[in-house]
Amino acid sequence: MAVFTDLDRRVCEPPFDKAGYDARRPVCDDVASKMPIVHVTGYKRLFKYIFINDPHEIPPTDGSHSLSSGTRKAEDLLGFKRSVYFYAGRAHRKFGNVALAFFACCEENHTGSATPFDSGGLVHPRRFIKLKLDSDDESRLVQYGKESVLSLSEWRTVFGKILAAYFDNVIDYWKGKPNPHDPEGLYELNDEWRAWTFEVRFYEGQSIFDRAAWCTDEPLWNRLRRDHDGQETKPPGDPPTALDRFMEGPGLIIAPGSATFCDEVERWVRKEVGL
Amino acid sequence: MMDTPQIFTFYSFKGGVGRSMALINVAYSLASKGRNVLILDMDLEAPGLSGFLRRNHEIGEPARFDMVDLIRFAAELSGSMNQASSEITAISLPSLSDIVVSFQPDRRTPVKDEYIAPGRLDVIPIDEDRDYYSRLNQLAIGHFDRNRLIRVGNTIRRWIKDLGFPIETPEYYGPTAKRSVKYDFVFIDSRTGVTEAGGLCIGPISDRLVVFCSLNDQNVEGTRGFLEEIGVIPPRSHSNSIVNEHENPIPKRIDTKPTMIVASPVPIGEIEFKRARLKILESAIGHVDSVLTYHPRMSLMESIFTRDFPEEYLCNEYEKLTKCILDRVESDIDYVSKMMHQSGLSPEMSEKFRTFLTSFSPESVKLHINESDEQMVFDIIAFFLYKNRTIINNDIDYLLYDIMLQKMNVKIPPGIQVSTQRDFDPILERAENLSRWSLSTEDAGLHNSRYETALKLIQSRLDKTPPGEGYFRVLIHRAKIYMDHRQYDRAISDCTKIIDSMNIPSDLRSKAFFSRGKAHFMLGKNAEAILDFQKSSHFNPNDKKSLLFLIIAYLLCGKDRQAETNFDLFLRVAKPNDIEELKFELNVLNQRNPNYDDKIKGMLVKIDQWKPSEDRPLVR
Amino acid sequence: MKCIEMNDLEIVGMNGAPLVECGRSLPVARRKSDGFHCVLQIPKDDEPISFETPEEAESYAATGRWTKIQGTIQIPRSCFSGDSAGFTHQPMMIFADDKLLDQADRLPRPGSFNGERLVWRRLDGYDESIHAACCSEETSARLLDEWSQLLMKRFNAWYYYHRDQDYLKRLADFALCAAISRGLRWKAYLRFALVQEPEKIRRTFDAFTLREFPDASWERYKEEIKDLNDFLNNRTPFEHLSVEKSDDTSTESKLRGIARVAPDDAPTKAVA
Repeated sequence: MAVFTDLDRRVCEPPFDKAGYDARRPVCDDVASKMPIVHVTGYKRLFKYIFINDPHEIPPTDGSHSLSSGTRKAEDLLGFKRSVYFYAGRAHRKFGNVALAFFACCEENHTGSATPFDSGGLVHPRRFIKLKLDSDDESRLVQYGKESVLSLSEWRTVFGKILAAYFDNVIDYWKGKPNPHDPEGLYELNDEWRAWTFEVRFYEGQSIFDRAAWCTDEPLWNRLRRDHDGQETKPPGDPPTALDRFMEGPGLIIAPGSATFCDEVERWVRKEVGL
Repeated sequence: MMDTPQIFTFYSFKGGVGRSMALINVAYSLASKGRNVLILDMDLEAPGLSGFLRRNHEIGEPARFDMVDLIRFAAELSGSMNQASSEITAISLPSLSDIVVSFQPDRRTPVKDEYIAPGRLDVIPIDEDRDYYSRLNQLAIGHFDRNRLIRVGNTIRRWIKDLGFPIETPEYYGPTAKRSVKYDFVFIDSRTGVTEAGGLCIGPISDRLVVFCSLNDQNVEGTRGFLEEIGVIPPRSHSNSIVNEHENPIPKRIDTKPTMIVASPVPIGEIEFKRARLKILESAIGHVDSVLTYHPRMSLMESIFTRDFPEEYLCNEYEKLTKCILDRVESDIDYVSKMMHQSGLSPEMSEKFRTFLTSFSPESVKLHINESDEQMVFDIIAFFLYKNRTIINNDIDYLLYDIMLQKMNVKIPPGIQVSTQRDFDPILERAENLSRWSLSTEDAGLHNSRYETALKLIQSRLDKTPPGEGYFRVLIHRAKIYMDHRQYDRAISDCTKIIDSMNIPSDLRSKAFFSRGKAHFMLGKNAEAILDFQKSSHFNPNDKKSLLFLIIAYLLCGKDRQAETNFDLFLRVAKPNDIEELKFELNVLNQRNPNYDDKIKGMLVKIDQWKPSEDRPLVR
Repeated sequence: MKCIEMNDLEIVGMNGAPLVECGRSLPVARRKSDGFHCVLQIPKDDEPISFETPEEAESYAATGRWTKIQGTIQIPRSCFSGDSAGFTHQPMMIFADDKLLDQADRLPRPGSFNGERLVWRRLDGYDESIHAACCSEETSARLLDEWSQLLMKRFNAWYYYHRDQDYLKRLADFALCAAISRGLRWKAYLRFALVQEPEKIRRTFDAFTLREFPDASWERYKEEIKDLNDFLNNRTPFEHLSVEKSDDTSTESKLRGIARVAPDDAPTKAVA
């Protein structure tokens, strides 16, 4: 069963701390409802694909410059459509040099799903998530994965419960790890944060102009400035370029480039959720 | 020592005497001899050299700036100050890549000697395709006053003298290695006639002049007048037109700007008349240093003879001119000093090297080597360092030794020129130098990089050596390197291969037993070590080192009687330095294991009573 | 941080790509024992480093998210104490194009800086003039700042003397790519604006300068640009020395004895 299966009943029994759970719920629900979702990508994908192609959306996994083959296999096994991937409140630097954060309201216009872990880490050909299941067969992993799927409309509620049930302190979602109270050992056997970070998937592309915050590494920031400067000046009244819209459009932009741009985004996320 | 780079201005009073083509031919020749050459096309109003290089695809695309820009920039800079420092000049004038154009690698004259890397050959041309006339007009060099010509000349000179270009160095050289070099020669192709542009070229910008003059009266008179004007030769006492050789001695040139005279073009045939005209030329402007003969091919199509027509007489004359230029600035000892200066050497080694160098007469070295100046230089330095290799303990000395060994490792057959030892092999010596160098650093990355390079060198030698004595001599080198790096098992493996082979000389077998014995000894396998030291001693009875370690191994095994017997034997044949070594090893042993205190003390007492015996072989 | 065997790690690339002529990025390291890769950032709060399989690393490199170096570089000694005691300083990749270093008068690439050895490696799939090295984060910032200062020094000189607009813009752009510290970035932005097309200055200010300096105002920015222009125009950046004029007018008189004029760098003779 998934970490959230029958959770309302399970938190009443040891080793869970029901009183603590109840006390934490309001804060956790609030954090879960506000939690921005983060997508990290590389320059090539952003500039060679997204900026030059209408409608300037981060494409699902069948788009070019995506890490697609293994991910597509995982999607097929778990029954997901081709997706745009986000982590709830966290950014992984390995995916590139620009991190884009989106507010929860972005989900309203999308279909999609979520899991309380990195789905690729479970059934990807290069899986890294360990579990105590009765069988090591791929079909058993797939079954566990499918049991863990949440709809876009319900994942934030479950997320709030998970934060309250498994984390002594919400901040441990970023700086610690969950308590190992799940029977399959997802929280016991894994030390890497992708094992307890909620993954959110949109089945349609996500417009980059809707980003709430973003950060790049230093070279990309300087490259953006150069590309921006290299654009020909348009006569008044002409529509702005995608790069102009991205740079000058609404939305908070965090600091300039930083080698630790993922940390910057996560810092912004925590501030957004009141931590 | 030569002030690098030496700046030569190639000047002619009249055009059409082959000045630019001589410049380019000499430049190609020098680059093929490993010299780094930069050419400046300063014939601003008639940039024939740049045109030739572009038409013949000798160079690639123009850079951002050209010679006209450089003079303008220098003029702007020197317009605000009389003397800009090197730093100001460096940042106010273009960086190398923005102005210098390299010659196409496939158009270069191939080097004749495989051990010489070709020098860099670059040019600052005039870009006639980029607003040439408007830039030239804007420059308005004709309006420069005398002081401005001098200031601009000095500014460009300072910039040239400081120019350096990066060179790739292997990682194992470490951070202290020299990573850039300067040009050796800068050749300026000057404007003809009496012009401000010409004045800029012959003023303080250059160190030396190469003046081209044909043999006709107009050229000789014009050139003489010009040289007088600019102060290269003193003014005549009277104003004869053509000088009579019997009336006027050859004028002595003033020393401030060393000048070479090249008679060019000199016609073929007409030997007597030609000789007379050359004498007239000499009496007018001084000694003729070089002669370039008219060649019909040159009049039909400008050519690089030193690359394309090496068999032609004109190529030979260009080579003579090249040698003449080289001799002006590089005596052999100068060149050695320059190489040392460029490569670097620690102050201690420099002092030793000076003493060492004075013990050579260049002539005797030349007789010994008689190959080329470069080879002689490398040999002298390498030989010096080889003799002092045991005291090398400084990065720059290790580095220089490595460079010198590389210079010689292709050309010199092992053990002929450099070493007094029969089995000297530059590649193996390089490997040992790298191995010692790797042990001198605390930087793990550098240590590994040098050690791995040393092992690769040995492996490359093994791959090229057929099985037999030569192969095993390489293996014994590797075993030594393994020992130095405490890779005892690997050392044992190499030594065992030698020991197990048939038909190898006893000295090699003895070395293999000794090295293996020492590896066993270091691993604490004293019984195996004793057997190997015994064998080593057996195959080379005069080897006292085996006996020395045998004594210590016996002691460590508790075989005191055998230790004593061999100790007495050792004392009978030992020399003072053997005794010192034994004392050292016994003290090391004493520190390591105090249990042997009494025995060692007894031995040390005997050692103190020891007196040198007559020289005799050690026979048991 | 969990114990990690430093000698088991080697640097094989960097996160991101060399999108401009110089900059820095987190290193990508490979664990020698199993070939797994990670983006090497000192984890805070005892978080383990996440390693990826070699195949996954290849796919990151293929999509431009990582850039591989040719060969490997050891983790700088300055970044950790003991073989397994953990990081003391964040290692950082620094990359540079020789074109930029040439302008900064920093060719050849430095073999060491700030007491740290720099081993430069070419980057896979990029021009041979681009190299990367690894050093501590502090050293990377100091080195880039040094380059930026040198580039701005050249900018000042060229602005005063020669005014080649394209070249000046290139220098200012390079200086911005290099500058890390806030003070230097502000100075570099001002110089960039000084040589920008007028209609672009405001756009860059709004989109970039203001993001980095949220307290800056457009009015003040304009004033500082003007002040800088006056400063660079009206005062030679170097010690001013009076220039002698000569009265020579004819070409012959200008050239008289010119070959005997000793260069500035000639040794001066003692006056009796």
